[in-house]
Amino acid sequence: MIFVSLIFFVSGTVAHATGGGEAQDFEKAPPTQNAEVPVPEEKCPNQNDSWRQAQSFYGVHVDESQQCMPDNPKLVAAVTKGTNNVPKMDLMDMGLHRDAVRKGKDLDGDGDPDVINITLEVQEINGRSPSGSTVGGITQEIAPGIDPGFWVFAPKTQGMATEGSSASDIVRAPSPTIRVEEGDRVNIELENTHYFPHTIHFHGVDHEYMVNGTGNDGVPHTSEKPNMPGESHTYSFTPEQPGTMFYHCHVQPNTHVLMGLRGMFVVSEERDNNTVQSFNIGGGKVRNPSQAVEEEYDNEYDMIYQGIDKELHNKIKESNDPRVIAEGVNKEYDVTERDPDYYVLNGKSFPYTVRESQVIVEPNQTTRMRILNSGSEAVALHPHGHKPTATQYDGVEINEVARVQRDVFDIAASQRVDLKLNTTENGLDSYGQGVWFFHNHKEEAVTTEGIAPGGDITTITYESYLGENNFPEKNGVSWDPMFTEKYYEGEIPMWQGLSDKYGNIEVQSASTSMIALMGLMGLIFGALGAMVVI
Amino acid sequence: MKRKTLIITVLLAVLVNPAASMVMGQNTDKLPQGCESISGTANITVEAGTEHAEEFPSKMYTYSDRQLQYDPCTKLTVTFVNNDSIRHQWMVHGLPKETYPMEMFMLEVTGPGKETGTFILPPEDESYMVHCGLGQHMQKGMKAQLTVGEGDGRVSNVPGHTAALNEHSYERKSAIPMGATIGILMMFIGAGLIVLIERRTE
Repeated sequence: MIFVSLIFFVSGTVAHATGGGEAQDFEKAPPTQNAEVPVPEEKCPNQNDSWRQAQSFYGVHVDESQQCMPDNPKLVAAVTKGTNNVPKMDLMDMGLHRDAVRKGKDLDGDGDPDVINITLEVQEINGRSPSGSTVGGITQEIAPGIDPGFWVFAPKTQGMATEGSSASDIVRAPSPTIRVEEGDRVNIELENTHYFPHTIHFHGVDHEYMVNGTGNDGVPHTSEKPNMPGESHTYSFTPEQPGTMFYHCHVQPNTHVLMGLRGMFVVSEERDNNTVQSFNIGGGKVRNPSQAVEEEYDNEYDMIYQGIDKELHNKIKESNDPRVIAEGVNKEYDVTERDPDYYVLNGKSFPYTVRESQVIVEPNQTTRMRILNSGSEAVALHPHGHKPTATQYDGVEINEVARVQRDVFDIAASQRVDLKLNTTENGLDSYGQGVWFFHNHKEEAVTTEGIAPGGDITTITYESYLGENNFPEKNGVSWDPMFTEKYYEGEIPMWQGLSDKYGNIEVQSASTSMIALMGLMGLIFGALGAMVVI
Repeated sequence: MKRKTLIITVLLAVLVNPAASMVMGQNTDKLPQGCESISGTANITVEAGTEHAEEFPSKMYTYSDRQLQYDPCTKLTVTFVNNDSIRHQWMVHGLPKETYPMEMFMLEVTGPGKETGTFILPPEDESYMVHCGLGQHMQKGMKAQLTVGEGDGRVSNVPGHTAALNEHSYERKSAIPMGATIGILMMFIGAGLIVLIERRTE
């Protein structure tokens, strides 16, 4: 040890004295070797252009949606009208069960139904696929090649609920936003089609603790026994406080909430002729806003944020034995060591967010953005080019004089904030038209496993900037690489194409001397080993 | 009076639970191509639910009967009883398209309740997969095999009959440390043997 230290010391002193040692001959560094970029995925796959137009079904008007991949307008109309008022064949086409949302009597005679019966199932997405079968479980990619497992509440489905079936369009993360009207008698039946016990806790929605001697709060340690697989339980309440609320499973919330059993719950203000859109599948633009929203706003968006730790979400891919999964999520996964890898908005990461969760606006409009942080980590939400105003926190209206206008909003775990986005170009509300990024400013949240841009970025896009397939027509670099799996695997250098100065370095073959040295060392170790044995 | 009661009961059943069950691919008389006549009739009752999975520690849902075998061209009437309070299906895939446009026969019941349906089996020997259409139910045990004639192989992952192709390995946890210990032990024994042999040859 002393000998080695002495050599270092002596050599260092000599080097210092000679100004860094003798200059060596120039040797050219290895050249840049750009990665091959695979053919990017289609930016707007399976598109049905007619879905974007404003149209009516069953007497329900469905607003235009300029999204690259808009919601099926017929589905929007069906869940507004009530599945008990929709032809059987249409329900089959959409995979919707007749009990998904049954709308009953107009009790107060104001032109809209007041008894709302909803049935939810618990479904698994990206689970371990059944063996040897062409029939696979439902899948959902959050970004190219990335498919963490989820459990979600879904409107009751009909027929097959497997990949490619009609029902697979209504089973998705996040769990659907549920909308009711203030004063409605709401009955929500939870049919536990899953393999673990579950409940629903209606966070922020005023509900009785007990109904007819049965627990109604969804907390298995205080309210009611959990709803076991194969069982069903009905929650009933008449919410009197309008606002943006939250619903989630309260069995092992440390894992069940994170796995996706959570969604936004909106209680709309009481108005006449106010038949609300009971489900907003996958969140995003509300194509049939309530009367109160229509009075004050031009657009309405549901925006649900969360972080995903793949260590938890991949547990359901390891086995089909419920005991193995229970041990994996409840014991092996330690939420106190949580370390999210992905960040999603409405169940997608950038660039998929832009397919269906752009906030599309025109100048001089007001847009209501209902934000729910359904994850465990705080969100620091930042819209470029705009300063929106918070009008409600946790479903409670903020006094007009106390409202805050800013460009970063802290949103705690499970918190809701309603933002009013004003697109009047005045340097304060809006800086003007464009394609403006809109993202969580925690820097890890704009990445997908550390690769940027990813995470929960979306855009506030002005209509004049919508290009082909209603994708943003933008300046700057191409998004093509981000529509490949290879990009998020880190295989494509981030600035490839901009400059060779940041590309991959060509892999150099090992020099002859290195190979000879390794061989020699192997020989010495081999000889030493032999000596010890003999 | 009795008729009135019956009508009211039926109406009530429809109103209370308008979509508790359905049958798809019902076929009581159309002979599948290749069947000259109906070779026989059979009636079975299959129950479904969590209780039938109790005997299988790793399964959550399954059917009471998971192995069925009939002659080709049998007219089969299935009564499907769902003991759970959620929906289940008894679905046969891969039936000939000429007779079954959706290539399947399916009974769906939101339980507790039951539904009955009839279909005619095709003429060829084949093993059909029967399953519940909720992906996670099939993954967690709700699968059966319907063998026509001698069948043409076995359907995987049928509880009590066949294993899953990607079955979970239960050796995983105990095997690694035990295997490693044995491995290290064997190394010592091997080294000891070499030393012994070397000394003897000296």
